[in-house]
Amino acid sequence: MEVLGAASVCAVLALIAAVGYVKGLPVFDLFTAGAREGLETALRLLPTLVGLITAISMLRASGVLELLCGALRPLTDAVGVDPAIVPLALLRPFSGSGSVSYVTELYAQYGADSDIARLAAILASSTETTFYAAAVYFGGRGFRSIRYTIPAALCGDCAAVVLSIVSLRLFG
Amino acid sequence: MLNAIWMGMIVLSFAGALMTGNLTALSKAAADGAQNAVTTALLLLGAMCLWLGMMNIAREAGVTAWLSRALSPLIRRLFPEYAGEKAVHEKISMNLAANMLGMGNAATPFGLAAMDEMQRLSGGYWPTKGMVLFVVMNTAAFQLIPSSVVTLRAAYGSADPYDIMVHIWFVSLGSLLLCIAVCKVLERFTWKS
Repeated sequence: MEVLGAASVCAVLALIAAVGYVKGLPVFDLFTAGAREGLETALRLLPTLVGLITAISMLRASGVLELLCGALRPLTDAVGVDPAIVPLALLRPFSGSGSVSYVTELYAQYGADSDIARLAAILASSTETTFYAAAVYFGGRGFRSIRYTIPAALCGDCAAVVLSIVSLRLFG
Repeated sequence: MLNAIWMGMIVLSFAGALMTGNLTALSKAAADGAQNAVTTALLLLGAMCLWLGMMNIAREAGVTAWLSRALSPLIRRLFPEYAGEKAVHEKISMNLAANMLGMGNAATPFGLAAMDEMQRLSGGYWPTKGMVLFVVMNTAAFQLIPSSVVTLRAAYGSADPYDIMVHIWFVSLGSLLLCIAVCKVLERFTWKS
């Protein structure tokens, strides 16, 4: 599977270079000209990334997530879901690497085929890091507001939590 | 919105750290976070240069035009305000294709290029409907090949690391469709012209 993902990247790289060359294009010159645009974009994003990643890092270190998990305990008990999923549901929209390391901890602790590990794997793979994506795509553009981006995206994140529980109950 | 969220995250962390006594860890986290951001930006810089360079070749070779023709019925329906804009279609279709193939590193550069193109066309201080929908779709990315999760499960001794793929398709497609529906409804309330 890792091979399949890696293969698609390599195949796309080789295909584009080969098709361009066969068509008689100066492929390397085109590549470097395009790559120069990347420089500008990445530098424009640096202030956005410093602001956001610092805030996320603080949020994770502060212990606020653990406090929230405790507060949500009655809810998970009522629905009959393992409370170990709550930290992931809260962490997922903020931090991609944080979610992966939490899921890995669950694999190590309960086994990769346990119910909670499967639920976590499904939830973590079914959404993106919402706040990071919103900040990266809108960062440095000088907009006054990003309108309803965050509420709409969070609707999707909540739906993913509900759907992953439902999906496992329906299809096992 | 981002202003309030950002302030909230920092103030909440401070309040939380006061309650749990994590203040030392918090100040270290702030310094580490700023440092990590630079690493992330450098990683992104490499990916941006690589994939925008490849996209330039693909554009000249007609590969992106072919891809955007294939996806244009979908794109035209989702982004009607850019119905006639070839350059926007090409970049959006590259982003969608990279997302579906699980090429996360490539999806972001293509997506940023699509946003640049849309902003160039519209100008102004407000994002368009299309830009908001595009970003929301990227926060709910649909993956055909969730390669990283399968690899990780296999590494932790799963008997059948693929058995969650159908669930992932169901959940990610469901949440993506909901995101699109929410955007389409909110468009009507916020744009009155």
